[in-house]
Amino acid sequence: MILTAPDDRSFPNGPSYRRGDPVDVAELAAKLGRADVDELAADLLEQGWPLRSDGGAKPASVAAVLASVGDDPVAAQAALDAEQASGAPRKSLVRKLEVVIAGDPKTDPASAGDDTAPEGADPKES
Amino acid sequence: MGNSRTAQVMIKDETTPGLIVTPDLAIPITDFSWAWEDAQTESEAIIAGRRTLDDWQSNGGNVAITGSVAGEVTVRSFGTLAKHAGLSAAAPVGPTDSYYSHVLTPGTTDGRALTLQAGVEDDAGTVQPVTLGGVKIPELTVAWDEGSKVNWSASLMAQVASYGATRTLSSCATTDGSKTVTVTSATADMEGHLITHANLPTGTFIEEVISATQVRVSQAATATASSLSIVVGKALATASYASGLKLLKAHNTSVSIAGTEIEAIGGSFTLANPLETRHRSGSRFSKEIKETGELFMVTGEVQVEHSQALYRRFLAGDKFDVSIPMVKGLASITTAIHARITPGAEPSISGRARNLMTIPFKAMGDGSDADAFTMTIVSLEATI
Repeated sequence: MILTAPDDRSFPNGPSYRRGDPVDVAELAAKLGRADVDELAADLLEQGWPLRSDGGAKPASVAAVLASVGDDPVAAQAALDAEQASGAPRKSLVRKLEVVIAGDPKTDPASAGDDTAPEGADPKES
Repeated sequence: MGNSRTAQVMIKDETTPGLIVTPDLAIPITDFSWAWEDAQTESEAIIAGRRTLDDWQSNGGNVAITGSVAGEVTVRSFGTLAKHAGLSAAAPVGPTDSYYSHVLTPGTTDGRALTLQAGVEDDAGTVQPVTLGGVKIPELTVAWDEGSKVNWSASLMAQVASYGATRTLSSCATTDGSKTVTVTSATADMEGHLITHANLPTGTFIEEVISATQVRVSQAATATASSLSIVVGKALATASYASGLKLLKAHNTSVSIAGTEIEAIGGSFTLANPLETRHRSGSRFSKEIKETGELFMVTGEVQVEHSQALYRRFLAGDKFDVSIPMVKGLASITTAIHARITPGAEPSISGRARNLMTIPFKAMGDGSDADAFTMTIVSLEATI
């Protein structure tokens, strides 16, 4: 089972992961000296480590995410956390969410366009 | 034999106070303790010829769960603790160079609580979980010496607790809308423990063990079914720590009088947010722990060299400012306190050492609570 690190994390006497890194639970269990791979996987899932998608499910569009967030900084933070945990955060979405979190529309980078949109993001979405 | 090297403490914010969640972040600690106080209610009836109470003359009373945890201030996680000690955080500003700025000022803790889980090794070498739910912090103390690490300690109040390894009860049954669950082999020590099944809402706990085959739970079942396996207790979560932990140290702490800074040697402050348990509705376990209505207090003391200006300030009853920056690289926690000196600041002579003053203080706002106490946390954490 492959999970996604929700944040920059270190396991005592074990490996460290950056936010969004893939985490092979079997490998992690081996490094931690644990035989209970399934139990470890269930524990981490319960702690909120997302199951890594194989890319089969298309993420919500940038416009859809921003529409659902509105100007709510808390919702924007949750959306930002989810995006950064996805393994391939879209830079345009991250920047726009950060503006909502900061609560300062004057710094809205929308006018700068979406030329920084990365992996799989549609730069025309706004 | 129990071994502290295997100890761990993990935390997570709860969505609803008292509904235990799975903790997801371990924090380095130096100390942890907890206590389960069962306020037994006892009969005052006279029994002819008896000089002692008979065992039937006591009954389980309200349960008060308290504890304490201590550690050292690092670049991560401290804000989460401060948030549950009577401070409210404004929306963070940033990130700037990946760092977020969080400003915390006195505010209500209503509607907010922590799940805190400790792992404590027993005499058989097994690390047993102690999971506290609905945790709030009535007192948080921070102590420092200039140029050294900063220590913190927090007292805890909790609504519920689950202790020890999980137990699975088989052949159980739930009824939609009912708080009574049919079980097998329930024991009295399960009261207050988390009870988990898909037919029970998250965070449900056992309020009362009615008999070995019936328990009353805190939230009604959502479906009717039988032949169920139900888990009692909360398993120990696998510990992972925030990467890049670094100790903060006190740096350039000072007392300011009318814009003139006096360097501080060390000191401490305590945030006191008076809280009380609320036992209602026939439960031995408290509903959300809430503030008593008494004032939120910030008190402490600062050590400085003997300062005539400062002592005259005390004699005049004037106010002054205390600044306590703690830093590591770009990360910092800066506490600004507006205070008055309370009695006990008299300069003294002690042997051949430099003459010092220990200034007891009490925070007072000049027009706002934020003026009395503001903590600014600059960290890599987008949320605290």
